[in-house]
Amino acid sequence: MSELWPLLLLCVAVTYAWRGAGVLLSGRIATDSDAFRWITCVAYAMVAGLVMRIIVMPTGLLETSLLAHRLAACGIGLAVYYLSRRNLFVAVVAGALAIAALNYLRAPVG
Amino acid sequence: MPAGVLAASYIGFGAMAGAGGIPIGVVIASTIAMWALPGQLVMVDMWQIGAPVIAIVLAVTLSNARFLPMTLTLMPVLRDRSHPPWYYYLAAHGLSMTVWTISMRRCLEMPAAERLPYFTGLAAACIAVSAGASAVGYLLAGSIPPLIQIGLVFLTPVYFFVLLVGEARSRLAAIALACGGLAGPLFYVLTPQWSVLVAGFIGGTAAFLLHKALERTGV
Repeated sequence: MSELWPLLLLCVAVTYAWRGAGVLLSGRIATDSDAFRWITCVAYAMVAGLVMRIIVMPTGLLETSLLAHRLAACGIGLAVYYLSRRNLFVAVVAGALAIAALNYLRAPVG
Repeated sequence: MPAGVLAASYIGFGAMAGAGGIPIGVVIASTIAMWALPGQLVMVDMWQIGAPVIAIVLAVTLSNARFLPMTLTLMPVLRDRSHPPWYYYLAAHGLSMTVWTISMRRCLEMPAAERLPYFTGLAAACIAVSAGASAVGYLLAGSIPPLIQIGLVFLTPVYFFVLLVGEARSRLAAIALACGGLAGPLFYVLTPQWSVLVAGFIGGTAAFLLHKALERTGV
């Protein structure tokens, strides 16, 4: 547990480094180069990969739910998103309610 | 409305971190000092599965790379002679997807001198809401039945799922998301502790090359 604070400090430093570099370099480098496209791809792929893994193979509490239920809840969230004319808030709440409801129906312990 | 989405996603983050045994101080401090939900999620998730520190720091670094082009495009909008240089370095910390999207639209409608204070105020408000929300999520997670708790913990994954699928406007982003989405679970099976880093690197590079190949063939 004690290792968590130094880790956080490192993560804070590397996160700010991108923002600080942006201020420093603004107006001096182009944002439409191949290097930028590549690093954008890596960043997108990394977050998408982590989110899909959490949905497909979660650890912790989500492990107690069924894969089919998690996928269904994501599908419901996405459907609500388009039906509500891209209202992200309503979609996220719908997805969370869906997983809770599906999980509750599966194991009604009263 | 952005405040509601921010609050929901950070309540989810707080609940997830709380359920995973992360101390509340670290949860709140990460929201204020990192101010990057994907990076925070990467850090908390990888730490929970016991990934090496170097892998976590590298993954957090790469997952936050979007801040460089975002800052580069926003700075010319905020520039005004009336502000000292350090103000920009301080304000840059407040940059996030939400703040960037709103500022890029609203700042152009106001006098140049007012843009930086507007951006700073907006960012500070968003950080305050999110820090509060992560604390609320953390405390809620410990005090409600597991069946409802699962809904809270699911807020962050479903938020990113809908955001990434629904907002993938460019073909490059869509290909990168698809490659990453496939690579994430796949590499988790092969190498759990390094999976986030390797999946991002290989999935992202594959997407980049695929996009280049498509461009070359003129599709």
